[in-house]
Amino acid sequence: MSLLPFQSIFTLLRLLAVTLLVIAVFWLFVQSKAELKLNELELAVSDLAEDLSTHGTVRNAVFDAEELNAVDNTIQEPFARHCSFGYDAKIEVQKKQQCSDDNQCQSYCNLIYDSSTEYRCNDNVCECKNDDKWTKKPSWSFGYSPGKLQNIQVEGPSADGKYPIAVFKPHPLRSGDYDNDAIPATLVLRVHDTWLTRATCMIENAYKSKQIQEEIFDCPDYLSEFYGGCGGALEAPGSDQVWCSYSGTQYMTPSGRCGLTIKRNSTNPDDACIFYKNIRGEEKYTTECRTLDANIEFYKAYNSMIYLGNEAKIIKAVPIKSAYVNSQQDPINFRCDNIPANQIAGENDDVGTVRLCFEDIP
Amino acid sequence: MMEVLQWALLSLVVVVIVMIGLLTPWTDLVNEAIRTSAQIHATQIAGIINLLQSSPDKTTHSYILPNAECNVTIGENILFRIKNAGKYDRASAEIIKTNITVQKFYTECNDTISKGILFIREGNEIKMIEQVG
Repeated sequence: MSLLPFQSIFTLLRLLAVTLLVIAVFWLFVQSKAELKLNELELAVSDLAEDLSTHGTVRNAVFDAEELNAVDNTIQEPFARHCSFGYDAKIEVQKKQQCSDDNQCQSYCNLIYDSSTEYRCNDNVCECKNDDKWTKKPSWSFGYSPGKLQNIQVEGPSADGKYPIAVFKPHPLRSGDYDNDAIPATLVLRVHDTWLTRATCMIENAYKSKQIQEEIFDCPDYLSEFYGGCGGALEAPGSDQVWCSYSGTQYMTPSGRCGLTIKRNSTNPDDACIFYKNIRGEEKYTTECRTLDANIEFYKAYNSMIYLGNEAKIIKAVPIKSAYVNSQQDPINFRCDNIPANQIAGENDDVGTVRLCFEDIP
Repeated sequence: MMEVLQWALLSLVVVVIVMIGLLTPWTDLVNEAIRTSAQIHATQIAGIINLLQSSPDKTTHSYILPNAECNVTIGENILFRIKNAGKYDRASAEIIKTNITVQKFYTECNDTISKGILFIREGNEIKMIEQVG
């Protein structure tokens, strides 16, 4: 008599437990989904390593020391260039050169750098002097790496790879097919994906292909931090005016950081840099720079306004016919639909410049 | 206690049988997602060109295009468009710039006829030929 309700409750509990188990297993199965993930950066590292080892070398994976000296400590991306991603490379010889006196280091240092390079034997290891620094393991560094917007470090996804290579230079004291020295070295390649690399790529592709380029602009943290919010405008129509700190479509009180944009570095026209104007309207360059073919025109003053807004937008790079490059005095022209259709270059037009503009995501 | 375990075991067997039944259509869905992903096709084509740039002269590679409504434009970059569930999926991938010239090329896929692209490294140039059938 007293056991019946207990048995009923127990059966109900068992039923409930089994039902829950079935639901849980089904839920786990239904929740699982296939995610296609393309490791674009990793792919870019291996593709770039392949192409660098072919096009930057005298033979496969054997680099010419003279060519490396020419690009050492520059932001050039020589031999091979990935448009969307920037790369920096460091090539370092693998082993220290043993020695017992200074003279033994002469040919080694001369081979790597040039005949005027200072050399010495220190603790039984050769040292060469490069850029006023003594080094035991000579190395070369070049390429794009994220810089700083004043004190804010630019950050973005990156991937790297390490490859065995060799550094070669025709021996100055010998001649002939087999009289060259190759020194084992390591190539460390790192690929970066930042707003500047993406934007310079869009500009480059728009200029060369004469087609509008577009992608989602999701307001990187470092840009938001630089502004104090995801918003900003660029150059004003007059040198005495500075527009700053956009919020929505209205510009607000000028801040200390206005006019953030990409511009040719006036001292080095091969470089495109993020720059800004301070409250007094003075142009300030940041160290966030990337090389961009000097023949590609973009962003003339007065038509170089960027609208960042408060949410993700579509950013477009629009090729403009050369006839319209100097005729523009248009204010607040950061919206793509403000660009007259007749100014956009087509297949048979000469491109004068490329403008970046923003559009809402439909 | 034994009865509870029997219940649980029976339920699990039923669930596993249902899951196995669903696995095949689920795998087909994944394969379809891969086949109709513009990003995958664009990236694969860019990868072929990037590798051919560092390959010996006369190296070739064939790429089979999907049997779908799609087109590919090879220019400064790779642009792939494919129609999937009535909508065009569009993606681009970058070609690494070296001293090798990449020929400009455009082709369309076909729903019924199998088509492909033959990539050829010829001297300092990469050429493309459309393949049908």
